[in-house]
Amino acid sequence: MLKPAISGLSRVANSFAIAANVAGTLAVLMLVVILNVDVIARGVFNAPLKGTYEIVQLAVVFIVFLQLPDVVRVDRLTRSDGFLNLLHATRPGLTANLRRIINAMSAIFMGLIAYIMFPEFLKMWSTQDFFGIPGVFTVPWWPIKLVIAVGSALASLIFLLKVITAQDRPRLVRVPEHDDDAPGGSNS
Amino acid sequence: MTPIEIGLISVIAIVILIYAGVYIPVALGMVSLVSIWLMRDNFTLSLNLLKIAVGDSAMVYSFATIPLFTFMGLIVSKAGLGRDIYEVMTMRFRKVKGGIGMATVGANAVFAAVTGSSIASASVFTKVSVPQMIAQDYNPRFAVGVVAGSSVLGMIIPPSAMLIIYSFVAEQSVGDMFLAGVIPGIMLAIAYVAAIWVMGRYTPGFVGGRIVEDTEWMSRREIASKTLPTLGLITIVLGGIYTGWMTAVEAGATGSLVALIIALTRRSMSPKAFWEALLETGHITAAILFLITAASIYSRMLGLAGLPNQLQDMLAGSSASFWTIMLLYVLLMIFLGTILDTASIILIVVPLFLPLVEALDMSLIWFGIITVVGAEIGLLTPPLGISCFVIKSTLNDDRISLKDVFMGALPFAFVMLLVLFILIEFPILSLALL
Repeated sequence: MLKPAISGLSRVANSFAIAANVAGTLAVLMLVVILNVDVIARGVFNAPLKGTYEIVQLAVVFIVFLQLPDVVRVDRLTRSDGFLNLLHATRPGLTANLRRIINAMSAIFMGLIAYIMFPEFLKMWSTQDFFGIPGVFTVPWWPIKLVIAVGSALASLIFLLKVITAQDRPRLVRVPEHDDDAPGGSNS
Repeated sequence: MTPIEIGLISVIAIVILIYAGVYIPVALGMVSLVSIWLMRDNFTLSLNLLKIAVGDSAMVYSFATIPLFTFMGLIVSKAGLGRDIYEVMTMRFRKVKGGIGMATVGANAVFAAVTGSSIASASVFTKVSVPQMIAQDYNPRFAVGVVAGSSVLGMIIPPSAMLIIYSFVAEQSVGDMFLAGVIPGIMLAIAYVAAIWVMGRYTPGFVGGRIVEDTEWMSRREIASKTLPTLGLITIVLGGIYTGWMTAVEAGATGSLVALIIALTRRSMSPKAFWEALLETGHITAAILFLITAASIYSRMLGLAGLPNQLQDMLAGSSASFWTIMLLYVLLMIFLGTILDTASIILIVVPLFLPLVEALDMSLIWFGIITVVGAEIGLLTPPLGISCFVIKSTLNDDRISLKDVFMGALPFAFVMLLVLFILIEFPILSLALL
């Protein structure tokens, strides 16, 4: 009875992570667009965009904490697992437990971040505090705090599911995802 | 226990945990959290520090350089710019012993100026360069060694993710760090080419290869179409920063746009590939920036423990000469480089040494170049030479073992060390362009 519940929860958490990932990816695109509009507006029309600085700050936070759950899901958070892979060859059981402990520790860390950020969000929501230059361009604080809290909570949940399911496949190396077959230039 | 002892134990604990396979940001964050708790006997205080670190350090404007330059690098690799530069370079060097090796170094140096990652360089050039060298009877060890050695250029020649990371830790301008990386990067490339020439002359057995007679010269037009896009991109990015017309963040955005236009005009970018590049950018950014966030709580912990100041008193107060300190530093970097990746080394070691560097009146920008080059040597040395792992896995050829890759890369690691000493002795090389 427990197993279907876990795998169901796992599916839900993963689809949330993927959705957040798409939102974070759009934030990357927005960053490129906004900055280019600003450079062109400033260079060609001598009229810089208002609030670029604040939007860039906002976008960076969004990219990091919206992508984080997905980074955890696909196991791309920075680590050096050379030792774990070596150990896996001789003591697979021990290695699996070690990975469980590591994931549990990570779940606690991400959980702590969510735990301290959520009250911040509530505070900012009720005070409606903002940053930026009043009268020119301001951004409210609460979306930032919310994204940090929710992103970390989701990452914590995914780590926790990894502890339970022990699905954290050991691989020899982390091959870059963009393992592209560089197309043969212009004429291909 | 005194705070200093707690601080010292936490640094060692972090290194051990990372080696055991704990995610690096988690190791940094958790250990710092616990040691602040122990030092001040106050758990709420350490939670508050965590809150401030996470809230503040993710809000830095210049952090935007990381997604922008990552994105630009991914787009140019997909557009095949690396292969183009390589083809032009091979044509130039084909008559020389070890010529393709030199061409690989040259192409890597140019390609490095549009990407920020050694991993991207290593995987691109393993595919284009190694098969060709082996087809021309080069020693496989030499072939993979050249690719491993020259992939390091990606992290030194700007735009480079490591220079960006250092600039955050040391609170230097990203643009300044980029400009400082130009001359050392070119120097290293020249040193590699010279080393290949020497190896070809005195140890021809290690190099191998035969002179190819089929001289099919490219037309001027073809050369232009293969090189101008990359050169244009370099001019816009570095030129924009150098003239002060753009900040590093804006240069990254403009570079991304130009790279995208190049890719679109060459029809080498499908909507799917575009979306994948965006996704990949997000993943890399989140991983790096979360690491930096965790490192900022670690450096706050060090500050509370007073460890950096203690280190400064110990080293500056003793009669140790400049070179003794630098030698110790380089040894530490190389030692850590064998077990940790470059970004972690920078984030763990630099906060410890910053007060010392300031007390000795050394330039923080110069120190950054020394740090990045020193830590990058570790990319080529076992057991954790990440460049070598990437080459081995990209190659997918059982005849070449991981040991071959490491052995081939060894001469290049040695050349790096020599260049590093020259850079230490002559800080002007790093500071001339500022």
